[in-house]
Amino acid sequence: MSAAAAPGGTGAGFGEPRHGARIAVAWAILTVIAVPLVIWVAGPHIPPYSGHSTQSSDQHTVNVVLLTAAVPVIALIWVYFGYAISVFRQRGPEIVDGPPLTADPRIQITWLVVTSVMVLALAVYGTIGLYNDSHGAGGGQGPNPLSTPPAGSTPLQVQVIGQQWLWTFRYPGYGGVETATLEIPANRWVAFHVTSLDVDHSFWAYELGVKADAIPGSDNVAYVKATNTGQFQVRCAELCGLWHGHMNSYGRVVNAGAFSSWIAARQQQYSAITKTLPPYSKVYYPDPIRRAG
Amino acid sequence: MSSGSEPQELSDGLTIHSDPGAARADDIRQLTGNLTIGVRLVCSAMAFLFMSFLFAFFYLRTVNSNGLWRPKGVAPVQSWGIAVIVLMIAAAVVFDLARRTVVGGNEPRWRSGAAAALGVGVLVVVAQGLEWATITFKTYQGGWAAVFWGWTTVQLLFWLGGLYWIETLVAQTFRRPAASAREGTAGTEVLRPAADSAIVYLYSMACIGVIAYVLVYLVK
Amino acid sequence: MEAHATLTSPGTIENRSLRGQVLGFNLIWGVVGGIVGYIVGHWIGTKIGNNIAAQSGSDQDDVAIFLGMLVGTFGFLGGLGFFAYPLQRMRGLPATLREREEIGRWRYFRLCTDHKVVGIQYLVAVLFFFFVAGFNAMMIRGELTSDNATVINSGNYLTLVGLHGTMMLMMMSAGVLGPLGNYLVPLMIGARRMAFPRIEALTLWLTVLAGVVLLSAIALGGFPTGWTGYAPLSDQARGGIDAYLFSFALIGISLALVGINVMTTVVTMRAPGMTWNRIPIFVWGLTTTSILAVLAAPVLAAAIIMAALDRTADTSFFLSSQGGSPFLWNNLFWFFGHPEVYILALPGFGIVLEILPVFARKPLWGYRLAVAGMFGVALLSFMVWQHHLFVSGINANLRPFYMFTTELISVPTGLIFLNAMGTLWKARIRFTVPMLFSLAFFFNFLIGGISGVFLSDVPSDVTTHGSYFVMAHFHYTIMGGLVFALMAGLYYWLPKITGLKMSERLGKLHFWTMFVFFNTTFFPLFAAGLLGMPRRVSSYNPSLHTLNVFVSVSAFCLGASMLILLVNMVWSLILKREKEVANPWEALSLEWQLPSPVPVYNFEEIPVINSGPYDYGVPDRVPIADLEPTVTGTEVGT
Ligand code: HEA
Ligand code: HEA
Ligand code: CUA
Ligand SMILES: [Cu+2]
Repeated sequence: MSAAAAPGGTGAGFGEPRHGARIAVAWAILTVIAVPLVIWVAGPHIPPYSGHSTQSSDQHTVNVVLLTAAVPVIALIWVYFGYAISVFRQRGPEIVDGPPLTADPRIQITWLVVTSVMVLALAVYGTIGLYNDSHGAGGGQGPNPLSTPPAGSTPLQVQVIGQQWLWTFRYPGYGGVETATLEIPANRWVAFHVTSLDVDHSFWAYELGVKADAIPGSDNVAYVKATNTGQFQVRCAELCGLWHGHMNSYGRVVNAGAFSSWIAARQQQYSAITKTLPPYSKVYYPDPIRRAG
Repeated sequence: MSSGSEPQELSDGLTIHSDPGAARADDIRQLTGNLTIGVRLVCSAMAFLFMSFLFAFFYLRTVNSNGLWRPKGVAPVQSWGIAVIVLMIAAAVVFDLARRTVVGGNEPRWRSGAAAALGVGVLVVVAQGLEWATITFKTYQGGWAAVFWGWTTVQLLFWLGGLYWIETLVAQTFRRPAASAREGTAGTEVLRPAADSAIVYLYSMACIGVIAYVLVYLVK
Repeated sequence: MEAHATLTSPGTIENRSLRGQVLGFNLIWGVVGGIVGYIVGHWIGTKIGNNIAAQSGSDQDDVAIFLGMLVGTFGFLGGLGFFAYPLQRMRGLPATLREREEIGRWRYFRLCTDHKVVGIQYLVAVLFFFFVAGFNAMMIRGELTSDNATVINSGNYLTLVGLHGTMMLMMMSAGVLGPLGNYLVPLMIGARRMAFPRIEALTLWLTVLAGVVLLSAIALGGFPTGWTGYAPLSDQARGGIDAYLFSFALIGISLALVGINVMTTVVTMRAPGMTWNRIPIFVWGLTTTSILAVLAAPVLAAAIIMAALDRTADTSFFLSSQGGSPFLWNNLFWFFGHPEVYILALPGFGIVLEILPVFARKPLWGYRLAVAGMFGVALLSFMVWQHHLFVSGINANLRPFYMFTTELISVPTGLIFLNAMGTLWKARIRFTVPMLFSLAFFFNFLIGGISGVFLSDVPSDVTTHGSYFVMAHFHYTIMGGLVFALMAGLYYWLPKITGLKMSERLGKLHFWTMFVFFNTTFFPLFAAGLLGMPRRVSSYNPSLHTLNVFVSVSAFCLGASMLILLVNMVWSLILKREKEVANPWEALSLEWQLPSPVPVYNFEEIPVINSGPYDYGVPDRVPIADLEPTVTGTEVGT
């Protein structure tokens, strides 16, 4: 990094201050101060807040790591530009030309190598986050998810149906009952099967760190494992027409016992309606509505 | 706009030379370069456009949403489809053969060949029209029908563009044989690069036609 | 009418009489033709529409709207005189460039093939629509001072967002290529014109028409889809979406043609001695942009044709219940959409790297690397499009690939930063207005780029996709990047284009207010996104109210700052009109060696180029070009 901080290092004349060294030192100091600040002071405040689910905790960690990695890059550019702006100025009324330096290939190669390595590291890190933690980071993975909860766990299946402009939740494991509110048990894997009846929507459970587009004719699976009980927001993150901004709902994470009794009550309450519903299916094909307003 | 006075030939203001002969040579060199590069860029743009339809074809075929990619009975009339593609290739080949001989613009082979290519090209439009007219399925009958309509429509539009180009060359030839004779080889210098570029376009169109044929009639 | 001046003798250019001007083809007839065409097309369309199953018996009249706009387009172009030439050619008459033979004000209101006139027409058009779209942004921010759609209702809000986003992207993708590209490319490579002057004029008028057609969406009931036009929402929407589709198609055609023109010009029209490694970096920026435009815009056109067929001819490209798929639009749109965002970035790179050496008084550091970086960006930008679809469930298993390619773009983009840093090393910086804007470009674009790397990381994108974080990201790259670069370019080249001085004082005021308020407007929105505020909503969580009010106030200040630009242009270029010397910045590149404003034929003789454009400080440097070569060279540089 410090080598890259001094392009054109050749041509330093006598009596000139060692600009490269100064920049390197300033950069190092700034980085050393800023990195811990980012990790320990700012870090805990970077959303999404951890603690609601494995997924949001992971996303939180990722954001902190990325920001930490960004600090040296940003610091380098700022220090360098700041230094150049304050030192390498035109002084006096006469316009003087600077030294006609040519680009030193070593600097170019160093820079290329350093940035490529950083990028490679980022990509590997991101891929690990996506697959190794075995839940696809809470994002929608389509019908055949590659990253699935650990073998042996039996995820609760919940179908999330988007439609202009409300969410419906269907529990195929419980007779295909449909509810208007979402409840899931804590500390158990949940598989959301997200789909839509009309246009594109996106199921966003903000606190849980889940986002999956709801696309008509597509079964988009996302996994979550909630770690704390409590309420979470559900909203729509894909423009779906007039009341897109109002397509909000709430969900609750409850403990396993409370979930069983809740779902049993719903099954009873809605048993008459459930019979009239179309049979459970991964996707539904209602007639296209060409004009809905 | 246009008036009786004969407009200057190629007065593109490309070069301002004291020596008109040199200016003309420069103009023609520029024109040739521009046409050569320009037509190839147009063809690459066209390639990406049809690539989108190609993608649509295979994507929708793979997804086969609701089992309605290609419902039973959705098939065009073979004969007209073959006619379209055969005529397209024929027009391009005839034009190519004619193009090879053009020198002054009044060579009989060029004149009749270019005119014939234009005629065959018009027949493509007719055949395409007949194909559409004899179709038995509706536009809403699945993804295949959608791609079929989209592709053939756009293909015909681009073909009309090619016809316009041939037509201008033919018109030039028939209007100005005397003039080019008067100015020595002047006619050639303008016709030849234009014809050379036009053939690139026509062959690209023919390729697209062949791909369309394979998609529509051969891919199950 | 009048005798045609022969172009081989520039002295005989004639001006037409007023009567001739009004009666000949011009904008007035274009407007008339457009309106009449629309009415005729619409009338025919209603007749046809009645025969289409989906349309008869409903209030849907998309066939009529599309046909109206199509015939209207032909009417508009016909009124401007675009068909005179093709018809002439079809009658076998030879090629001429008569549209160029004029001087005087009128040529700005008609089809004119002088690249300098087209450049200025483009500039006015693009700035006009930029301000319209900016005004929409002000209304958006006005609505967002309330957390519950009390100022503007939801439907109108979405239309505003769609208009703002589409208009901005349409106009800004032509924003540098059109005005500065057409004006400067010939001057910078030593040519008298662009390769295809008539196509050049066509692209301009298509752009103007596209802006107007897009605005007509308001009259057709607005459209709810934003600039991305996702299907099947677009299938379902009312007539306004037809205007969106049609105008976007016009821009697509226009962009592809601009690209073809610029690339051909650069390849074939260079002056002798203008070798590949002497081409100014700005021209390289536009060339790489053109590659993207030529290859990406047709994909947009194809997608739009499909959407239009879905709406009019009842096909089902995007209807999953009928054998289509919404993913098809998503794929095609973003295959175009991502190169499109680099169409917005590369010209900016070109401008700032062109300006830095001039005010650093140093050669551009790492010229080859800069060119390589631009080509790298252009190439990679075709391989990343699914990063917009990370959580959509499409090809989820390809996400690591797209994550990697997306992050890889940081490498060639980073090269632009390296070039700037090398150029500034031991420089002698002059803090002129263009230089300030160029330096600010790097500040803003760094933040925009780094936030892009966050988005490219899938786990992070799960939170931020569809949120204001994305919105802040792209305003940092586009407004903070491209628009700052465009401002730099305007302050730098307007003195050449007009031959007049721009007020430095107003310029600095504009810069500082724009820089400060740009950052206060968009930086907080990163936080809003991370805190869970979705995009494209007119009502949001009340806990974010204070933040949004702060942003709105900043945005209004930003708007006021943009007005300073207008004031400066009106004051300096229309009222004060103080003459500027030919080369106020003492730049070495070719365009500054010409008189200001540039004469009609640019170069008396085609110049012979002797050196690269950035030889600052080089001992015994030779002038960049011999402007009066004794031998009329004929070889194009290689
Ligand atoms: C000018 C326009 C522009 C530019 C240049 C960019 C540049 C980048 N963009 Fe951006 N983007 C948009 C305009 C732009 N974007 C728009 C308009 C959208 C939203 C569309 C919509 O949904 O409406 C969008 C959306 C968008 C998304 C989708 C978000 C979502 O919807 O979920 C992603 C995800 O990957 C992304 C990533 C990137 C990346 C990685 C870059 C990179 O190219 C950035 C590279 C630059 C740097 C990294 C900084 C400089 C580099 C260095 C100093 C070297 C060292 C650095 C490292 C080694 C990291 N962008
Ligand atoms: C070239 C690209 C570009 C540029 C320059 C801008 C510039 C600005 N944008 Fe834009 N924006 C987009 C492209 C761009 N935007 C896109 C693509 C979207 C996404 C659309 C979608 O979701 O589909 C978007 C969305 C978008 C939103 C999100 C809407 C939503 O999701 O709900 C907002 C909200 O604040 C916003 C604000 C602004 C502001 C304040 C500016 C300012 O920088 C503008 C400054 C300029 C002016 C203000 C003009 C000059 C002044 C006047 C005309 C006088 C009037 C002045 C006053 C009233 C003070 N933009
Ligand atoms: Cu549903 Cu937005
Ligand atoms: Cu992108």
